Amino acid sequence: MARYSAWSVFKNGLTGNRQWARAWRDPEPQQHYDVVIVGGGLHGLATAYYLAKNHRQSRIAVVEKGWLGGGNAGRNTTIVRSNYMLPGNREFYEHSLKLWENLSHDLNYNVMFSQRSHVTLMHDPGEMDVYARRYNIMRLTGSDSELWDLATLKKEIPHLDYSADARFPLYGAAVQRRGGSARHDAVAWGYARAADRLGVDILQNCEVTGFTRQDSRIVSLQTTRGTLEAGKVGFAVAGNTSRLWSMAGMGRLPIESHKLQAFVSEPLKPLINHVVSFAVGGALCYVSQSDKGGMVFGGDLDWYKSYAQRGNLPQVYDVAEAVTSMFPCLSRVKLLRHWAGVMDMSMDGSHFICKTPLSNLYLNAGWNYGGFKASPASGWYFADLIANDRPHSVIENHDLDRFRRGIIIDERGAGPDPKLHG
Amino acid sequence: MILIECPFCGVRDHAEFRYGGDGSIHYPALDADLEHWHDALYLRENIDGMQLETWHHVFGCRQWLLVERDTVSHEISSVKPANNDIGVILDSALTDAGGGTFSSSVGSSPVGSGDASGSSHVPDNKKE
Ligand SMILES: Cc1cc2nc3c(=O)[nH]c(=O)nc-3n(C[C@H](O)[C@H](O)[C@H](O)COP(=O)(O)OP(=O)(O)OC[C@H]3O[C@@H](n4cnc5c(N)ncnc54)[C@H](O)[C@@H]3O)c2cc1C
Ligand SMILES: [Zn+2]
Repeated sequence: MARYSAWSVFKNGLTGNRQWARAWRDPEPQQHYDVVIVGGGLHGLATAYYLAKNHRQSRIAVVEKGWLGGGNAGRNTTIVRSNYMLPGNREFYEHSLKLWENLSHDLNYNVMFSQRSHVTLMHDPGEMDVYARRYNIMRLTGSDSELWDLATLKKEIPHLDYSADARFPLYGAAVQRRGGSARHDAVAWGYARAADRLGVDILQNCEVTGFTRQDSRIVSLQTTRGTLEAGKVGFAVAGNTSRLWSMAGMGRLPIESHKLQAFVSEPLKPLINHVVSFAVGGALCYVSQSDKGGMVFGGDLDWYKSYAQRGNLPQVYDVAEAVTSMFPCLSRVKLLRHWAGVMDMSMDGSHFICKTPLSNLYLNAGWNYGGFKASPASGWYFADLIANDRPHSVIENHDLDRFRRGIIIDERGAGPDPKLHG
Repeated sequence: MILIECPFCGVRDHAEFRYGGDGSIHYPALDADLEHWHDALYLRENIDGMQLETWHHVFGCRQWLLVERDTVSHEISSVKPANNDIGVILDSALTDAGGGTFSSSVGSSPVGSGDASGSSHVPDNKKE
């Protein structure tokens, strides 16, 4: 499969764009793979890519029950940032941001990564102090961060409600200039194509329905496209983790599945040049404008546990209220679509990239609302774990056993209630 | 909207309630060993299907309820007070106030009927 380049665009333009080859193969399943990754979302695809690229592993398959990017990969609001504070998290997310910065070149696929700044709105001096601490700690890991006073915020984002009777009066902002967004589908397709070029078999419409175990090993996977023998198995199935976990004959996990909605409005002329995020008390929203002009936004979970990929109306109201209280100019904009994804909410809001009680099974889960930005590093460290059968020091505490050891990686300080993490 | 038939208030929108969490968890004794507390605090079955869960009727009677709900279809199959003895407690309150009985309509059994009469029996501060 040919590389994409300015020349290939020109050449295919001359032939009416009818000569493009397919972006990745559609292979028949082999009987045996050295590594089988379950889940063709961003994390599964990135893992396969880095296994092949960084660790020169061969005979890798990614099995996906639907189509690539049909899960949370294609449902998120595409915010990328690395403003995490706790050890482990901050190195991880900063590494991820660095991978994002070179991702289009690395994958030879334009993921439309746009570092348009991530702006967290501040409403009082106390909040500013808390963020000053957090953003200074980020700097110790080499991340960028800025604090904006009200005058700067007004200049940068003129459409917020600065009026005297604003529902949530503004004070300033905490900003990460290198944050921004990317095109989610392109990330899935880019990783799929790049992995495929390195020989990875991507098996779509291939649902894992069971496992054959020999003691503490998985010998093979039953799928809707036949049985696959596997040397090693990795789970990267986001909100479906507990389902797969019990399918493999194991018990409980520090994870609950909740649903999160997102929304897109009718297209508007350029209005918001940043990713803007707002949180006061129970209200939360984050807004950006897509390249097609739609306002892309989201808020909190629907609050009750759910495996349904559809949202409920009260949360539509809540999020719309939050958005219009920050941007009153959007109050008459029409919603075009809204949808929901099933989130793997963990007990402390942080992820798991770890070994499991089964000797050849590895787990990647617990991404809460934040797994889009994590995708490159998630694949990078998960591949490293699978290839070397030991965790990298950056993720050594991101295992299932951390609570037992008293290590709780809780950025929000919300306690062991999955729905309260973000 | 999910409709929850509160045994005290009748059928109400779920927006009136706050979701608690997994209702099948039994918290161990305070001095139980670490392993029991670890499991109760951190491990979840995360059922895809009918699960027992707690809801708090924050904008209603403020009672905690035990609800059996399907986490895929969101269908509710039973609702009952989380506090098994709530009927007895309310009865004694009603007797003190010279009222009737409550436990006949609200008790430890799943409540799907009789809630209208139940709600009319809830002590009403405004009358006192
Ligand atoms: C509404 C919404 C907004 C979000 N916004 C953001 C954001 O702004 N920024 C951010 O960083 N993160 C965000 N996230 C989180 C992010 O989208 C997820 O954490 C991330 O996509 C999860 O990883 P994934 O892409 O691998 O998951 P998925 O795309 O869900 O991939 C898992 C795949 O596993 C497959 N699968 C499941 N069971 C089986 C089986 N038995 N056999 C085979 N395949 C199976 C599924 O079909 C699915 O494709 C958001 C999520 C949602 C839902
Ligand atoms: Zn009630």
